[in-house]
Amino acid sequence: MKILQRIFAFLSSYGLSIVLLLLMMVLVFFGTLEQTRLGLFETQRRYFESLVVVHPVFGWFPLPLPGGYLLLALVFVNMLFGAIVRAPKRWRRPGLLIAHGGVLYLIVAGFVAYTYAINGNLPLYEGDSGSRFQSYYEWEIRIYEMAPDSEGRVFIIPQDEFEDVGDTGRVFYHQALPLELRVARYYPNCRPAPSRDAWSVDGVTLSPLPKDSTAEQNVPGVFVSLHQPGQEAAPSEPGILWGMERGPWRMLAEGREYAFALRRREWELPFTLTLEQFNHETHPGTTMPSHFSSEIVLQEGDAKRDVLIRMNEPLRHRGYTFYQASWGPTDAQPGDPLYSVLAVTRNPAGQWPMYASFIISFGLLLHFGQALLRYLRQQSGVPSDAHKR
Amino acid sequence: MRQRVLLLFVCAGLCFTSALQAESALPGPPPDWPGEVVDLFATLPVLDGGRVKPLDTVARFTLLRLNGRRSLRVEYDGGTARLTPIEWYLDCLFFPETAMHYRHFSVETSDVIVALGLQPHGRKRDRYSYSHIAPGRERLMELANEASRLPDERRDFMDRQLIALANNVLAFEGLAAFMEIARERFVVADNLLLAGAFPDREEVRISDIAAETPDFLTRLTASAHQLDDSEREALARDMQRFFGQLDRVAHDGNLLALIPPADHDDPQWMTPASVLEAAFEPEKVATAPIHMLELLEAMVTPLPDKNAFAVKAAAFHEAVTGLAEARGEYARIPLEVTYYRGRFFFLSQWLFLFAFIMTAFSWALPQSRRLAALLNLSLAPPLVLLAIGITLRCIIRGRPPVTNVYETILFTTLVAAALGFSVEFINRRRIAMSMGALLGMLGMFFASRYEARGGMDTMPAVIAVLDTNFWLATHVTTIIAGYGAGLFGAALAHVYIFGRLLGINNVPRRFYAELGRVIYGVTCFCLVFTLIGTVLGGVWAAQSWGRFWGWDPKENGALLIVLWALAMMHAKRGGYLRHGGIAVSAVVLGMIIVFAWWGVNALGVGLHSYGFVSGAWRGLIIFWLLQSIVTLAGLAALTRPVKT
Repeated sequence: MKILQRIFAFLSSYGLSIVLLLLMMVLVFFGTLEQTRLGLFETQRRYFESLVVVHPVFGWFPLPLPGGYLLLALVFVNMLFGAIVRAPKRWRRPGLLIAHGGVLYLIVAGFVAYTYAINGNLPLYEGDSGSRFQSYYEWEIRIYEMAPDSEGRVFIIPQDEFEDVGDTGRVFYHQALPLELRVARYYPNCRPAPSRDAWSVDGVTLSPLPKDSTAEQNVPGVFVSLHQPGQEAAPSEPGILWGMERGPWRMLAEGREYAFALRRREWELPFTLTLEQFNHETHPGTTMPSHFSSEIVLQEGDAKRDVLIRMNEPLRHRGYTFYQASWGPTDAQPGDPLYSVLAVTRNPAGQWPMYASFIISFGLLLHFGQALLRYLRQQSGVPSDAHKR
Repeated sequence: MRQRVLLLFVCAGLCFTSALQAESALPGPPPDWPGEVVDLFATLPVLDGGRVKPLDTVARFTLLRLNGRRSLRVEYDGGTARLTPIEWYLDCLFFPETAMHYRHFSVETSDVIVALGLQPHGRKRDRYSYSHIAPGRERLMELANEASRLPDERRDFMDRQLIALANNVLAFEGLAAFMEIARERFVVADNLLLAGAFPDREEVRISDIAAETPDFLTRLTASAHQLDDSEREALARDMQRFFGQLDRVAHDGNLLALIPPADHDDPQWMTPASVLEAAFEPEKVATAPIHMLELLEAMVTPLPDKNAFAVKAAAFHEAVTGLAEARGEYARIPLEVTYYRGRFFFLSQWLFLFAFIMTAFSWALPQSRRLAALLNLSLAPPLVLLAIGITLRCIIRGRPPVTNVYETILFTTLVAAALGFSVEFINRRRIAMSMGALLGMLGMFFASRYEARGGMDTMPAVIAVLDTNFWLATHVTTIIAGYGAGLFGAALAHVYIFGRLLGINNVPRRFYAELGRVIYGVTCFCLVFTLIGTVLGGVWAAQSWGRFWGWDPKENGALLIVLWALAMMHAKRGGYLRHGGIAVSAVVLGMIIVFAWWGVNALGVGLHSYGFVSGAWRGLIIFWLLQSIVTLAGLAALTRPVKT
């Protein structure tokens, strides 16, 4: 029992809060500096979404630090015990209680967003429609059943099932497929290159590249081979899948054609968006953009409505949010067709941070308002509860 | 063309110079513009950098860029004169042969002049005139071209100086040649095309050409079959010559977009050259404001008679402002001129200094509440001036107070100084007001330096993502208020630390404890504003591009402030820090604020790219080193006994 009390006392202590806050500071500071070297995506993954990170101080001295995920979890526990459960004088200082409650809510919102949110984008040329959006960073292997005599099904292997296959590879199968697919040697960023080594296929292999600091720029590739179900040892048909291939790799199996491709992960939308027109204006006499907007038609079943998406004014519909992200081609001449890129997110905690912010702000203003009044009263000689302590 | 015109002037100037053997080759005082002319041109609206602004503003920042100062000293035989930016600008436009002798090119090192094969003045850092630099112009352009081919991070001081000087020389040449479009005369007899179009004229001007030639060309095309081969050939040759000349003039006339289009939906103002071009385009000719070219020509004709010029200038001004008013683009022009002429920030800077000196003297005097109250009032005038300046900027642009880096300096200064003023009412120890005055002075000085270094309009058009007054007003101003408070707290902490370090104990009882409490209170203020500002930024980001937090460097900078202030607060409550510890931590908070404010911008990554600053590292590192020393000194001071 005593041990439990001591653990509780430790977890709810000011000392722990201070250490956690300082560790978070150090982590954020290094995580900011590292962005110049690693880029945002990689830094975020290594520093802020991790349990532990080893930071090279001055580029060589390895300093192990708790990662953002671990720190926030500890902060949550510390705050829950220290500021809510065991808070001294909590009813006389409701501001602090409210503010800390708001921060807890914010951390929960962050956790929900980290776990469940989907982020992607939907590029549309003027006149085009789209009912799917694609991931920035995640890829998948797709196997299409080809027409004419097929059901047109698509089989998908998500990235986290093949990104760690190594040289030996891993075999994927499905009862509806008359073949099995071995996937090996996944490169997160690579390009095809002529070669005659053991892995090359028809004189071409994949040449790995260092990861780009802008994660969207990485183009992955992977080596695959096909064989009859259950006959892994038998001779197989080798192939290469690369993210930027113009067309898929086509193969015949049992008289039916299949196509294989490595593509950005996609999600289906329960409605369709059509880009009627993209507008962009610049400040007169300059090339500095002043406004972008996409005139969109949203179609759901038979119902259609017009929508205007522009900077700072996204479209929210059925849990999805569409933001004006970018456009192109930037060197378009007047009259050329333009495309608009809409950033798409589905985040169950979408508005929670805003509510949490209001709660925190209210709590702090209440608390410091009270504190200021107390101080002023004390200055003017009126006794206050500060003296009674 | 512009270069050719100037070279002519230069040749004339060089003969003159060699005769005088001195560079201050101005034989007499610079042109003396009547006040009304200066006012007319100051309030002339121009479209520049994406917004309509007074010519006065354009002139100010052009001169600042070239000269590094907001006015120009001109030496001439028999005296010196000080020119305002608009007077200098008018000289460049209308008397380029005089302006080319003005020493308005600020050169940081005479090595640049030596590199051009020229004789520098005696001092390392000095100002040069166009006539001095002209013989090395070709060399300058070659060297600057080479330097600009290097990637930015590989350019050294010399490269930057060469590029800057080349740009400034080009800017001056552009100015000097701009009015050529109004001055240019075409001799009719020289050219078959003109002879056909203007049979009874000896010479014509651009407005005549814009009005008559397009029609004549149409008629000519229709009747071309009546000409024989040799006539056609001669005509073609003359036409080519004519259009070549027209092209050159048009090129010079593109500098200033000072003609509002009659079509209210067209945001693009016209330059004299674009009016000329429109006259030759069938779909635009009907609306081309050719009469504006006539007004410009009428204006330059009477020169150097400045009184006759004034009458014509008024006519041009009236025509332009009439059109601009009809488009709703003139209303704030006179206000902007007033804003700059008011020199609110300049006055504020010196009044802050005055206030600081007053308070500093008063430390030697015995403690008197009345004296303290009176002295504190000396902070009011510079504060009011600063507030008026900021308010005028808001009105002129229709924007909240902070939309760019320059304005963050103004607003941070306002908050810090205003806190000094208000805290003095709570804690009458003459410390808060002194620090308020000191920060006010430093902030205004820094703002002025920053403006001079950039030499660019500090009220530019805002980029698309910032086009939301609500979030600018809430997120940005709260964050900046937090910066101001934190820096004020850090300044108070310096007093605490040095007071204790130097063993200043002839102070009232509980002085340090009280000061520590004030520092703590100000830190709380900083925390509340930074925290609310940061989450508001998150909410804006969530609204605009779908994520509350993106680990963007600027966001992280604000988060660092929040985390440190929170750590201070918890340490105080947990009994780990007392007044001294709070003071030392407040100095560190100041260092973190400077990192969030300037350091992350200098990193050069992230979304907040409206505020990248280059070459700021040296200053930043010096600041952090000094503050680290203060922090260490603070830790040492904590070991000294204190009167409580």
